Amino acid sequence: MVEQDSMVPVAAIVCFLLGVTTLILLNRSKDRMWMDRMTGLMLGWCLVFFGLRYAAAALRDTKVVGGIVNSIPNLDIFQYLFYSFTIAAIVIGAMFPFVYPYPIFQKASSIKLVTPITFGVSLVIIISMMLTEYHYVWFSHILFLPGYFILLLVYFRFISEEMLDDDKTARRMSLASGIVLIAFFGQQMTWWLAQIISINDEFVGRFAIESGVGDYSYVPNWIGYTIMNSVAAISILALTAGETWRATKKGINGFTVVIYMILGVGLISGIADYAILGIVDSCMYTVCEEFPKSYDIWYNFTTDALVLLFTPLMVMYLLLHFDVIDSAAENNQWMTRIIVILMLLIVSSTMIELLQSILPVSDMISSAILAMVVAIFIGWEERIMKALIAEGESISKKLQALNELNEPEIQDSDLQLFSKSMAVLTGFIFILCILYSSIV
Amino acid sequence: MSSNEGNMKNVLSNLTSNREGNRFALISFIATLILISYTGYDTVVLRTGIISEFADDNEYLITFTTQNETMQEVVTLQDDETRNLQFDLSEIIIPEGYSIGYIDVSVTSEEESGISGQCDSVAGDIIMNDLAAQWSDPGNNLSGQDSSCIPIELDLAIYPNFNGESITVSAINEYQALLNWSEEGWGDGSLSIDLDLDVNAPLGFDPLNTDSDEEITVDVYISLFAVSIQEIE
Repeated sequence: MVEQDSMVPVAAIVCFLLGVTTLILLNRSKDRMWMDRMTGLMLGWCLVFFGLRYAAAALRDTKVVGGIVNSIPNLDIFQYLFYSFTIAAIVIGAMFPFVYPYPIFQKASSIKLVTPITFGVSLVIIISMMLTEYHYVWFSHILFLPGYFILLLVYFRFISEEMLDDDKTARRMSLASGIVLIAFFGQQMTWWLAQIISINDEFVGRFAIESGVGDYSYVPNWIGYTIMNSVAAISILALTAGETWRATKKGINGFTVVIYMILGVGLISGIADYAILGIVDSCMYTVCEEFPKSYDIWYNFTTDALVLLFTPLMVMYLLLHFDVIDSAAENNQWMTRIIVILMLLIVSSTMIELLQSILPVSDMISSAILAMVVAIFIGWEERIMKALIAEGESISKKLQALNELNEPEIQDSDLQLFSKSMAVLTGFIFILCILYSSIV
Repeated sequence: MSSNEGNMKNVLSNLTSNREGNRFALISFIATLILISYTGYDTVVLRTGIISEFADDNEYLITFTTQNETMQEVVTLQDDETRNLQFDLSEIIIPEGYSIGYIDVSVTSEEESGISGQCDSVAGDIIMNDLAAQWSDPGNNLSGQDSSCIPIELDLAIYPNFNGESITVSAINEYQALLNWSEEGWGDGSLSIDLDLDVNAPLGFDPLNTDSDEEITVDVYISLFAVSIQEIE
């Protein structure tokens, strides 16, 4: 039996492994255009930061104080690391839509600015939040707002071109922007109904009271939550509208199913959230009652699994399907194959273990199911790889065909500077967190 | 119209080159603004107002309204006899909203037999049993003895920390302020009292054996309380 929160260390391994592999594979894909290379670097480092973030969270939550697991951690080094890597990942995520799938920065000078902006903004926010004890940390969600507008513009432009002009190659643009939207806002998308009927504020209020309102500077955080939840709610509804439009003419595909699944999860979650409002409000009028067990299980299997396990898989899909890394090259294939099978197996086994934690399934049966999954992945390894790489024409080639992508003179060293600065940022974060946690 | 010069203006112009796409995007942006507006009002304005009430603990004055119930038993004990009396507290009628605070017991002997009216020696003990009470409360008086015809007074605290006096508490809401005063089950059970009698004859001389027993009256006063709360501004 596994504990239900054991997904966090698994997510740490998945994200870190995938991030490092992406950076290695990208280093071997020298022939890629600046846009693909920059995308790979940003995604790779974003995954590395997410991996470190989850690792810090896992260590923080299992810290043992005097033989007792510390369930309410104070600001310690792991808490500092958790917030700092979260901020670094948010800043990369906020910059990402300016580069992919439709690069807004196309001039050499503006492309070169991505690295110092990402580094500088990350460092400034990390230090300022550290000095204010992370009271305003979730206000940084507003950084996603420009990217959201860009991604929606890209999605609707290209889905309209596909539907109205019958441009079949336009699909990859709308698909890529849709996947990036889910990767950014997937968690909050599952709360879309709760946001539309405006009950998320009651949950936010409960968490504020539980955290101790006196020490909780909630207004800036709440602005961040509101923007993130609202943007996510409209994103999933916009994607649903777009995919439904497309499905009526082109039929249902995998992405349509994913969108409908998130929509359905959000619908059920919204109803469940409404049903337990009495428990949510208990903090204000009586004493904080615990959420029902079934409610926690539902969120474990939907929102948490989506954000912790399936988001890295979506990023992997983006990297391989849109040929960001040269997965077809002979020297990259074996590594790509290993990483794909490894990712799928880690996620499958975690889901099986998670299921076993709530259902009375014996170890023998779960082992047999896992063996079946392994057999399927090994047997279908080639098909899975082909499906991932199929039509793996890069976004950059599509934009080149449209004559909408500038190809400036960018040195490889200019792009590699991003990796170097992110490595320096990682070092800074570790040193700052160690120092500051020992001082305060 | 396409351009690959990479100027920001051209890039944005290309991005917004599809009229239908722009229309859908514009609808989405307006919807986003509307959603942010009303959920933002609920969260940042409305919820902030509610939550700010919990920023500091509020002060509450808790006062108690009391009333008494009485049980009585009159028994006649023989010399050197020990007798146990049981008072089933479930027999008293406790009004809605009231709880048992404490119990006072009065044991009274009435000397009327014998030649000289010499007081007999009477002892009363509250026996610890499964009655839900504060058995180790320092204010309890569980044993008493008397040979001067003065009533024996025994006390047992039932509800924790109740002494009938008003108190001030800090809490985030009324419910939590009253949390310590809404416990149920205190006073469930029977009060058990042991009585002992040792007849005293004047100078130890009672040839006609006229003073061999004693009538003892046991009064049990059950103090009930109800709670009232008022926020101190």
